[in-house]
Amino acid sequence: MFQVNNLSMIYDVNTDSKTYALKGIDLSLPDKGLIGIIGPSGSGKSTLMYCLSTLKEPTEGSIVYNDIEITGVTGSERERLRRREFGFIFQKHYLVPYMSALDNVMVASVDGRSDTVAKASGLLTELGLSEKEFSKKPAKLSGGQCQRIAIARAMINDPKVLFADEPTASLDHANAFNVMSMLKKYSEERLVIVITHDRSILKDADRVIEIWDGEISK
Amino acid sequence: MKTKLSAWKYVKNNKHACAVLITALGMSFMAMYVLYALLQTTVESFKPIMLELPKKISYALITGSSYGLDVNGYETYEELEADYDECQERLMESLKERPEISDAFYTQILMSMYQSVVGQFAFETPLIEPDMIPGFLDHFDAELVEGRMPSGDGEMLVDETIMKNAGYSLGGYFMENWYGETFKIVGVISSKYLISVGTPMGYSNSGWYMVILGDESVSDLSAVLREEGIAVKDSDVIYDAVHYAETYRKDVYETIHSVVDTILLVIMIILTILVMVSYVSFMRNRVSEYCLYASIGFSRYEIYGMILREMMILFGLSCIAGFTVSIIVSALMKYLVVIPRGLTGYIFYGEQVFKIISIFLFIIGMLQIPVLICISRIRTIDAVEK
Repeated sequence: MFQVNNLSMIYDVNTDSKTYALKGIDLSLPDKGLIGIIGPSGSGKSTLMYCLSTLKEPTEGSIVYNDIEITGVTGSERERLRRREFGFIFQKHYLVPYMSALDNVMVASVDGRSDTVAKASGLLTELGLSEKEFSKKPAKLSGGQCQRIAIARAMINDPKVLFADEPTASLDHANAFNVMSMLKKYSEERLVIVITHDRSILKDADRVIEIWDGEISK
Repeated sequence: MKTKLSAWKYVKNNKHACAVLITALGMSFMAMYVLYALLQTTVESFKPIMLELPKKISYALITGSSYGLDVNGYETYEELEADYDECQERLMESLKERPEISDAFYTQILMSMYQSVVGQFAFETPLIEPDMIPGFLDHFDAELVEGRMPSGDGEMLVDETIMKNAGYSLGGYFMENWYGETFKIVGVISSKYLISVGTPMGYSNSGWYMVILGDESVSDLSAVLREEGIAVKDSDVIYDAVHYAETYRKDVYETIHSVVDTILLVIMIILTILVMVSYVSFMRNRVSEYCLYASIGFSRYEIYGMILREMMILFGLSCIAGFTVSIIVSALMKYLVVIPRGLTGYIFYGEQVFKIISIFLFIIGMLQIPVLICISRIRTIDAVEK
């Protein structure tokens, strides 16, 4: 699904003190499966995810996604990919504070189908939220609940690739296990890329990529 | 069906903040509307007296030189006066022969005051002999609605609207603060011209004038007088429909509208600045939300569309709220202030509603500057997290 060749991300590219966030990454990712990208803070794992998901444009190299060279596509094509093909779980939940839990999930829906409410409700239920919490706003929910709403939002369009940046960071052990089970289940049909520095959540990963100082070490 | 970012959700879920903005804009709408309605009362109230009444009655004070008299060529004042009176009599007889003029006579007048919410207007009230009054009232289609016709000296018939406006009562005295207890109000009359009339009483008057009762074709009395061979000059006093129409246009309509427009301009500038400042703060609080939308694939155009729809909803609701309150306040003002004072005012002024909506559209236009700056600065979550 993804073919990454010689990918580099350099900050301060026009100065003498160039900083490599990513350095010459070569990578091939399948159509489905749970892929873990692990590394310490500042290792470049989030930058790699942002490059793969079109949020960041790399300095060098190419990323081919389903035969599309995404480093060279237009802004609207990037938006289309992010809207229709990719799903995102960010480090922080970034929920819209004035919307209910259910609306926060539905806001990302691509099509205004009548079953969107049912689908969003189903996802929230699967993620452990009770029906009475659907109408609550983020300020009335715990950090863990908010993160689960963000996960449901990422899944609402059945994206082909689900990017998850520290998806369990704000969850307790039981909920973290539950979320990873959901992601594992989702990865049976789709590609799930999980960025973490916590190796324990990647025990069911199909592949773990370790990044160190912007380079794949393993 | 492709989903759009909902504009209504923000309004629905932020009732308090939106209510504050809607109330502020709605109250501004009301202030601009009610101020106009209040000042427009003067414009509407003065119409019958300044535009309609002069179509039926004109006043003239013509100098001797306009009659062709050599005022310096007389040895005594009495000789001049005799010739002047003769010229005047001749002119009045000639005028009365014209089909458009029903009567012309030389008489004393009193000045009457008509007080509006803003400003007052002094107009003439003729003093004529009691036997002339029925014919005079017929000329104005006026009827006695209360009291009796004048029969002695210093008795007045006053229009019911003027009665209300000046706070007169039957049996009271006309312009008491000017003339004292001299002109007693003995009857109340009603006509669309707000005419009043009385009988003379010694020297308590505002001068002598030639009074011409005619139809609308006597609007330009100067032209009629020229046809009669009078060399009308600037020194002649001619109070006809043309004179009052010009006075009304300059001193009432244009003055009031210029005041209203100046006030609207000041309100518009202040309101634009305040709304822009609050909108910038409002958008700053939502930067993360806009960044999220951009990150999950909504285009800047879609985000801009949502902001614009929210703006239209807020301004639309403000207009509805402002208009509703304005109509209620205008109705209260009409029935509690305007009508009891014998003034004329309306509840609905479409022209002003259109102006206020235009001001709101101008503010929406100005708001596009901070909105577009905000839109151009939207980044995706990666930039926010960095």
